[in-house]
Amino acid sequence: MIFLWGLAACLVARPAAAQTYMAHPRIISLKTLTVFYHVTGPLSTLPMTRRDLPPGAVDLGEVGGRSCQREVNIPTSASLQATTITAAEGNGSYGKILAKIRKKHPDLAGIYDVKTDIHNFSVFFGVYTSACTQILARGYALPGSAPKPGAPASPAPAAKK
Amino acid sequence: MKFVRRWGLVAAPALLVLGAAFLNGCGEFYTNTIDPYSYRAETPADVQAAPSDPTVHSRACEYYLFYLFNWGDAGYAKVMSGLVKDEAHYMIYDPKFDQTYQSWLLGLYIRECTVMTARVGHI
Repeated sequence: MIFLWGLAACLVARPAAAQTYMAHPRIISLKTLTVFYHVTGPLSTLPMTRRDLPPGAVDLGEVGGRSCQREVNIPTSASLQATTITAAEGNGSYGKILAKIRKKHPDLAGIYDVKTDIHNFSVFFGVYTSACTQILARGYALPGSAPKPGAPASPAPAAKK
Repeated sequence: MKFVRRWGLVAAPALLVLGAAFLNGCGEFYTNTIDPYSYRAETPADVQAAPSDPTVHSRACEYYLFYLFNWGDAGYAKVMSGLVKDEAHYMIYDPKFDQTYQSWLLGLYIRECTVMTARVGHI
């Protein structure tokens, strides 16, 4: 009887589970013969749009950055389907890219209108592979967030001619 | 006969590599592409939307050749670049993104494009 109730509960819960949010990590996958593996990739974010900016925010114009995960695969035989000895490292996360952008713009309070792309590079049937996360966004500063002494100020937004 | 023998020496390994690549998947020998990943678009509420706002169209593509080579930039940044001249005062909003594929000769040449239709509004 308990089993039947459990089964009924599972069947009722299934449609709700199908609507659950699924994150899609973009990370270099683990292979069979991996000798070293330390990678970080983007998972999910909810970027701001212009309407989400806090009051008094000052637009800093276009900002961007990129960060990569890298992988080397050495095939164990002369076949395209061969098992490979693999080493992978790199941090292509949102956090790393944001830290890089903040380094370039010390007065940056946040970013909005964020476009995220993945740059895939691979040569010689995947012996060397890289997956770089690249962000192009607009930055904003808050009136109180003055640049640190000695740090370069953010450039003015460049208008295209 | 000499001609056939000479070109056979070149064509046979080439066909072998092409066949292997065909069985193995696209873009294996050389890949250099940028793919769209995520973008939360601006809406009419984010700009001063007006009925007279112009509509813009754009596309960015990547290509596959002979099952071996894969290159191109079909990312969000590329498809949205160069559409607004005065970015300090105007902004793209309400974009619709689509993907389009074209394939010729059993997939020996494939073009994959990100296509965008959007409007430009005053900030």
